[in-house]
Amino acid sequence: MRLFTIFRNITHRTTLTRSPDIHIDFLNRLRQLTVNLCPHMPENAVLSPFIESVEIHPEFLQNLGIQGSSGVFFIEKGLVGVFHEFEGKSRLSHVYDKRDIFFSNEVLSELNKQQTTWKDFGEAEVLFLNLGNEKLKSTFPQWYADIQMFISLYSTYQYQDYINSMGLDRKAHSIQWLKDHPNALAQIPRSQLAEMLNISLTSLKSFIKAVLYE
Amino acid sequence: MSSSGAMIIADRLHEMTGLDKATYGFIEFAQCFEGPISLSAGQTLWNYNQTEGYIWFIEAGFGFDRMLLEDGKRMLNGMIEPGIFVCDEKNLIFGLPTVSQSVMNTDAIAYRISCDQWFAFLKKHRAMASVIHNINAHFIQMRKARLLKMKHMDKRDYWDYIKDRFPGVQEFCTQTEIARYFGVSKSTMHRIMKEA
Repeated sequence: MRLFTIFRNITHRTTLTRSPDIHIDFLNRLRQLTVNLCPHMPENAVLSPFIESVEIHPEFLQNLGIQGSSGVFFIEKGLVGVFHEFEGKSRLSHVYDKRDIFFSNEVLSELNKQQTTWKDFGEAEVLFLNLGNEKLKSTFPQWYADIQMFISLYSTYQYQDYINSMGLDRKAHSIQWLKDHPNALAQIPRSQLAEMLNISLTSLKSFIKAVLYE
Repeated sequence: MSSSGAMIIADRLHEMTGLDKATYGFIEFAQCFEGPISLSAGQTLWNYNQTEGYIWFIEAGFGFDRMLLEDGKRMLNGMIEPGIFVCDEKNLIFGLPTVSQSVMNTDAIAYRISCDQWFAFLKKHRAMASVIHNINAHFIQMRKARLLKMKHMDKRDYWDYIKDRFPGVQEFCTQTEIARYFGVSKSTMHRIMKEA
C-alpha cells in the first residue's frame, strides 16, 4: 500500500514538471516519417517550443527562407492546395489534408521555376516547425543536419509519388482520392479538382455520384 | 575503385554542380564506389522487391527504369543514360524493399555505392551533403515540370518530345508502360502514337 502511494506521488510529480506537449500528433507523424534517416530526433516536449501556428498567406510565403524561417508544416485542420504555373496559368497540382506534413523547400523562391505557391482552402489550421531557428540548430546539430538531408530527399520522392499516381487507373484513383479527402468537394472548385485528378469535368461528376451514393 | 573510375564520377559531379572537386570531397566520395562493373544488354541494375539498395552511376550504356505502382502495374519512369546517378528512392529514404526496376538495354559500364555507405559518407562530409541538397533542388524542379507536362501538355506534342528525349522507347518498353507514363489508356496511347 505504502509502495503504491510512493509510486503514485512520483508519477504525479513527473507529470507536473514535464512541459505539456501539445504538438504530439505533429511530432509523432514527423518521427514516423523520418525514423530511417533521423533516428535521433529530440523528444517531442523539447521540440514543441519551436512550433508555432501560422496562416498560409502570400506575405508569409514571401518571407519564408529570407527571414531565417524554413522548415516543416503540419495541417491540423483544413486543406492547403499546391499550385504551379504552366503555360501562363496557375494549376492545382495536389492537396495537403489533415495530418499531412509538408516542407518549405517546395515554395522557396530560389529555384522555384514553376512559381509554386500554397493556397489555403477555407480556414486551414497549420503548425510550423521553424528549422531556421538558431537555437534549434545549435542545440541539435546532428539531428538538424539529418532532417535537412531527409527533407531534401523526401521532397523529390514526394513528386515521384505524384507522378506515379498519374499512372494509376483514373477512375479507381479518383474515386479513392475523393473518399480519402471527404472535405475536398466542399472547398475546392470542381474545375480545379478535375484538372488535379487529370480527368474531365464529366468524369468527375460521375465519380462524385459514385462516392456520394455508394 | 580505380583512380580513373573515381575521376569520371568526380568530373561528372563537378559538371553537374560547377563546384570544385577537391573542396567538396567529390574525389573522396567517388572512391567509395565499387566498379567499373560491366553489364550486358538485358541485365538489371536492380529489380523489384530487393532489400539491398545501391546508388548507381552509369558511365556508358542505355536502359529504362520502371515503377511498380500500388495497383501492381508497371509504369515507365525514365531513361538510364551515361552520366546519370540512379537508385530506388523508397529503398534509399525509408529502407524499404525496392518498388522499381532498372534494366540496361545495351552493354553498359556502371559503378555503385550501397545506400548505407552513401549515408555514412554524407554524415561525415557535410559539404557533400549541401551539394546533395543543391542537386535535389534541381530534381524537384524537373519532377514538377514532368508532372505538369503529364497533366497539361498536348499529348501528341508530349509524345514527340519523349521520342526525342528517350530514343528507342518504343522498342524497349511496352505500349502499356508508356501509356501509364502519359496517364492515358492503352487505346488512347495507341492512337497518339499512330497519329504522330
